[in-house]
Parts: sequence; structure tokens; C-alpha cells
Amino acid sequence: MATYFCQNGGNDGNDGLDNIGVGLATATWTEATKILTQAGHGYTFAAGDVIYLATGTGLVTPGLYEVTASDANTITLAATSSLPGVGDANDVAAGDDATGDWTTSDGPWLTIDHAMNTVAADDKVWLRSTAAFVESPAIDTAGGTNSEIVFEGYTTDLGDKGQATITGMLTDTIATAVMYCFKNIIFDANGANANATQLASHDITWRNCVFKNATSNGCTMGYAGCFYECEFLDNAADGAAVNSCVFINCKFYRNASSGIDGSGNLVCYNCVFFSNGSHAIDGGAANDLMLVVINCTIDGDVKDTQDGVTSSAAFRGYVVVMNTILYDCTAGIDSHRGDRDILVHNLLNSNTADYAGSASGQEGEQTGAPDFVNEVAGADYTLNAGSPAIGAGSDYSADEMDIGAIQKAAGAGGGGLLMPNKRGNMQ
Amino acid sequence: MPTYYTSAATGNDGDDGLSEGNAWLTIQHALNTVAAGDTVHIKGDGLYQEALTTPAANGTTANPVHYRGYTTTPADGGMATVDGNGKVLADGIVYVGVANRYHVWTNIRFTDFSDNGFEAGGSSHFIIRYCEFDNNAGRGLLVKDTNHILCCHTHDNGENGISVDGTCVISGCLSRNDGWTGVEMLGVNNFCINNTVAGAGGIGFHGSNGLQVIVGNTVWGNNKDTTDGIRFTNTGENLVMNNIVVDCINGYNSNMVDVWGNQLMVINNLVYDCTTPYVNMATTLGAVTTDPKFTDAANGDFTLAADSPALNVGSHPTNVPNAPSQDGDTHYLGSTSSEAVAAADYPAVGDVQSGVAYDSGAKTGTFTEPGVANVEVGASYGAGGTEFDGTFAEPGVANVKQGTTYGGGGTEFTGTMVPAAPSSFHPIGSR
Repeated sequence: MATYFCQNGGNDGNDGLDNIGVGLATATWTEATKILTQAGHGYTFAAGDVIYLATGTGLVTPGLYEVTASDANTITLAATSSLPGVGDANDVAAGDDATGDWTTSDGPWLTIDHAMNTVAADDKVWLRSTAAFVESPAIDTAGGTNSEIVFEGYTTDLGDKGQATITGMLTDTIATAVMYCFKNIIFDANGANANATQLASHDITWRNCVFKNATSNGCTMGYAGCFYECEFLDNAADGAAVNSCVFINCKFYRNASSGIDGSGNLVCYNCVFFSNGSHAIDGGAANDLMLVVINCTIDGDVKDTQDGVTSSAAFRGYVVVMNTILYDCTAGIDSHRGDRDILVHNLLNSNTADYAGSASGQEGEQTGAPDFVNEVAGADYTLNAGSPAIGAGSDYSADEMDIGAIQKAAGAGGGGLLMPNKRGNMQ
Repeated sequence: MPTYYTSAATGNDGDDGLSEGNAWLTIQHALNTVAAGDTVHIKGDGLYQEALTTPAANGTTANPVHYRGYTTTPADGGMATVDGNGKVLADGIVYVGVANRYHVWTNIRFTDFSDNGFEAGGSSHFIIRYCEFDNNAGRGLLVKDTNHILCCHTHDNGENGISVDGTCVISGCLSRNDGWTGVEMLGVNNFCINNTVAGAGGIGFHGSNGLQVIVGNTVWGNNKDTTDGIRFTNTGENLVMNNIVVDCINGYNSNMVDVWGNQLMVINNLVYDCTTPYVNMATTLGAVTTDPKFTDAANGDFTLAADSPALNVGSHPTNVPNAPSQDGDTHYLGSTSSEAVAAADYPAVGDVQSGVAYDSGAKTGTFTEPGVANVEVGASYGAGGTEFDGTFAEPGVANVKQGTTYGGGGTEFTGTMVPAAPSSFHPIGSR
């Protein structure tokens, strides 16, 4: 379970164990003040920087420690750190020591590909967003169940959720369950790569990532992807072309083809789609599989989008569309299982045809204009007070649900997809 | 589309039923009379000891027929009870024939029948919500397909709590101590979200034919009374996400071994204290295998303790006011809002939040006046922290809970609300 660092200005010859690289061969530790002293050490730290301490007189636990201040001769460590994966200076050493060899890291790596060549299951790599990583790294090592390999972007402090950018195309050399997690990363194909990610490997979690500017699809991967709070935009083909994946709180816009072109099972919760050139959600040719769309907002943007939700007529999957706004598309829902599809509590408006195939309105349908705050270019799909979507969703609890991806604030009569059970108190 | 009324205490089937004063006596009379689009308010002022049979009229999509219980004022959320008279009567209601009913049943209890509480095995298109089915010798609720079953409570039935065919949405329901399976799904394409099954004598959730979506549910086996928490005996496709299974013989059981590929998606589930956690089934992303720390499972409280490992590890959006956001750490998890902070942590910036446990010890700080002697979910009490000097009933057992009213003769609150920084906690499981 190692932690590594990559950033612009790094060196793949380094050990990658921290993001600065400090030599403290003759430092002294003072426990009471949490200060390492080495006259003229020559380093400048900002609050929130971390250093890796490998050895030292009395060092209890090798690892990362947070720097709170420094001057020409001293480095002060945080007594307790809130940074993820960073130790507390209270545990650095049991007492003051004489001058000794405090070995530290020689600094971060330069490339993500080098990191991918090095990591093992359960490792984590921090990617600093000082400048884009201009490379096409390749996954070639797998993590494991409960020991995934994490690549996470940050800007200044670890865990600050800043996004690092990879300009190129993420690829792989293996096609197995790699158990990776990519977090806070912009995958920018930069109009020069077919896909922002082009993977045959599977079992990958993506959090707060962006997939954009591909000459083909934004994200391709093997099956089993969980996408949380990701964006897919400005790709020349599909935003995501995937098999058996879950999308939660994601946004798909201005993709020349579909927002999602799925096959296998496909689940979309709380996602927003606008101005995708083909379909917003294409369930693909997945006979007898499932397409689940809940609490999504789909804006075809004056019929730029053909079908809001579509499944193949020839290979009919089972479709669930619930609490979803399908607006301004050529067709709202195109499904083919008749009464075996669940199409309830949706709002369909301004579509050339609300339904195609065997789809038809079922329970709780709304047909009035959704009345967004500002739908221009997908600016704000919050519902205005008079929207017919408010409180019209399928209520999983006594709280009213809205239709669409943007709910009223909790406590204002709206809520999320699933609210606490409140049985026996209807109305 | 008239509105009718029944009263078990004062009704008369010879009246016109058009007002509470002229209410009918029996529900059966209503069933025989009403038409599509009509509503019947059924007053719970006594037991309706009837074995109801098929209503005369079906509703339509646009004009369903509503049967709705109440206690004092129509639509007040009170429950009316259809009673089997100590299992003398066979079924609470039996729908004969295959039809699309478009009937909506709300706030009605079917109890103590010698067979099923509600039997519509050949009929479809029901909305059944806030109903209770209990102590029936057969099934609690039996319907065919294309139904929406919302926030119903089944318990102590001899057989299944809820039995459906296909294309059903089952959400917010509780099955407790039912003899067979808590929720039985016989057909294809059911959507089962945010339900709880406790102490089922058979299986917690059972999909026996085809595609099932099972998300955010909790199963508690009560010392292995329950054989399988979630089980599939089909060859279809299933999604199993954000569920908790505890104390069953088998946690998750399937005849399919293709995890994730094209058939079975198993992510972010918790299994604990099961003899065999997974049978022919494995979880990949987000597996949790430690004690979920229910508040009081033995007494039916499956909310999660502040240090539950199920908090913040699910994979479902809850309380998402502005999705999609760019916050990589919030909004992405959980199936319900059993929000909690660690014991001894108090709400940040004066917030008291739903389900939060507040340690009763070491209260020495300031606390903004909650006003009207209430501490309410989501209420903000200000960052400034004025001294709280009013009366405030101690939250008891160190808990401040959603909807609880404090004060009104309570003890003086003199402690400290130590600011903490609870972020969005969204658990897996159904609470």
C-alpha cells in the first residue's frame, strides 16, 4: 500500500514518494514544537505541502507528513493532519533527538505512464494539476477487490478535488478486471486522439472525471464501469461507448453522436443530457438486458437529439424510465417491450413524438413544459416554481419527488432519488 | 367522478354515500357501485370485517379508482382496517379474472385472514401505497404485474409478505417476520428499491425469473431465520447495488457466475454475519464485509450508527440539489438519508441533522436556540452560537432524531454543542 506522486517538473528517476523532494541528512527533531531543524536546508514549503520521511532517529512510522510552515533552517510539521493518507507529527518520534539522518523522498515522478508501470494493488498515485500531463499512459497492472489502484488529481493540497489533466489517450495493455479508480482527472483527447480513454480492461470506477475532445468517443472501456459526477462533452462520436456500466450524477453534452451508446446492462441515475447529436441514451443491441434511467433530464436542444431514450427494436432490452424529463427530442422514449417496460412518472414535452416503438404513457405522466430556469446551452435545469415536474415524480417515500435530474433542495419538499422510509403517514 | 364515503361505525349501505353523514357501511358496497375516476374515502372508525370480492369497475390510466383510508378527516393519512375476524374469513380481497384494474389502494390494512390479505394474482395495474398486510395465514399481498407498491408494511404473515409477477416497482416497503419470502418477484423486470426485510422465514428478496433491479435494500436474517438475503433463481440479468444483508444463512445467492459481464452487476453491497456471504456470486467494486451497526435490529431499528461502515460507501445519489456537481466526494453515495456524524461530534455551523447521534457527555459549549422547543431535521441554528438558555428536553439516550420534539418541560440544557464538520453521509442499505 504505497502512495506516489506525479507532477509536471518531476522526474521518473525519482522515488515518487512525495511531491517536493527534500534532503535532510543532518536534521534534528524537536518533539514539542514538531520542528525538523537543518541549518540552511534551502527548501521553501507552502502550507499543505507534504514530505515523506523514510528514516530518522526515533522515527516511529515512515510515511507522509504535512508541512505547516518553514524557514531557512526549520520545517514545522502538522501535529495532526486532515490530509488524506498523511500522518500526524505527534507520531513522528517519541522524543527529541540528536542530529541524525532524516531521509526523505527525492520528489515526484514526471509521467503517469511511469506510475502505471510501477504501481501494485492497493497503491495510490496523486496527480498534481500544475500543468497537463501530455502523454498517453497505459494501464498494465491490475489491482484487486478491496485493493484497487487509485489515481487522484489535486491542485494544491491532497484531497482538494482539483482536477489534473491528461492530454492524450488513456490506454491499456491488459484486458482484465483492473480494479482502478480514477478521480478528479480530465481526459482530454485534444482533438488529436480517437478516444480520451480507450480501454479493453474493466472494473473501473471514475469519479469527477471529464472525457472530451475525442475524434471518436470520449470514453471507451470494457464492461463494469461506475461513473460518478463525470462529464462527457465535445466528442466527435459518443460521449461514452460502453458495456454494462452505471452512470450517476453525470453530464453529457455536445457529443456529435449519442451521450451514451451502451450495450449490456446500463443504468443512469440523476444525469443530464443536452444537445447530443444522435440519442441521449442508446441502450444498444442488448437483447433481454436492462436499461434503467431514473431522475434524468434530457434536453434534445431543438431536436438535435433524436431519441431521448432508445432501445433496439431487433434486440429488445427491458427498459425502466422513471422520474425523467424528456424534452425537445425527435422521440422521447423508443422501447419495445410494451407493458413489460416500466415508463412511469416522466415528463415528456416538445418532442416530435413522445413515444416510439411499443412505448406509451403509463402512470404519472406529465406533458406540460418543464419550465427550466435557463435551458439555453444547458445552463440551468433547475425547475422554476411553477414547473409541472415539481412533486410529480414517483415518490419513494412520503416526501414528494420532482421529475428530472435537478431536485429542489432537501427540506424544501423535494429530495433525492431515495429518501428515508416514512411508512404509514401518507399525504 | 363523485367521491364516496364509508363508515364502519355509522354507515348505511342504503344511503347515497356521497358525504360522511350519508356514508355507506361496507366497503363491498362501494366496490359494487363506483366507476372509473371515483374516489372512496374509507373511515377507520371500526373494523370492516368483510371478505371483499372483485370490484365492479376498473379504472383507466387517466381515471383510476381510489380506495383510501382515513381516521378523522378524509386523506388525513389514517388507516382503515379490513379484518378477517380471527381468520374466520378467507381473504381480505380477491380479484377474480384477468384485467388491468387501475385501482389505487391507500392507507388500508388487511389483517387476520385465513388465506391472503390482498389477492389479485391474475390482475394488474395497481398502485398500492401505505397499506399494511399482517397476520394473514397466506400471503400479505399478492398481485400480478405492472404495479407500484409503495411504502407498504407486511408482517407476521404465514407465507410471503409481498408477491408480484413482473414490471413492478416496489419501494419503501417493510416486511417483518413473514413466514416465507419478504418480497417475491416471479416475473421479469421488477424494480425493488429501498425496502427492508427483517426476520423472513424464507428469502429476503427473491427474483425467480429474469431481470431484477435490487438497489438500496436491507435484509436482516434474525439469527439465520432467513435462508438467503437476496437470491436469484433465474437466468436473466440483475443489478444488485447498495444493499445490506446481515445474519442470513446465505448473503447473496445466484445461479449465475458471470459477475458484471453482461448479466449480473454486483456493486457496493454489504454482507455480514452470513454463513456463506456469496453463493455463485461475487461482488467486485465496493464490497463491504463488516458489521453495518444497525441502531437496534432486534427492535426493528435498522438505521445506521455513526460509525457504520455502510455510511458513505454506497453508489446512489441521495439529496442531490444540484447534480451533477464537481464535488468528487459528495452526492455520489447512499440509498437513504440515515445521515450521521460520529458520536460526540455535534453539527457544524449549528445544524442538527437527521439521525445524528449526539453524545450526552461533555456538553459545555454554546448552542443557538432551536426555537419553539423543537430541534428539527435540517434546521440551521446559526454559526454565531448564542448561548442556549431555554428549556430543552434532553434527547434521551444521547440521540437527537428526525422529527422528534424536544422541550415543553424538559430539563435545562446546559451543555456544549461542539462544532464538527459532518459532510454528506449517505449509507448503503434501505434506511
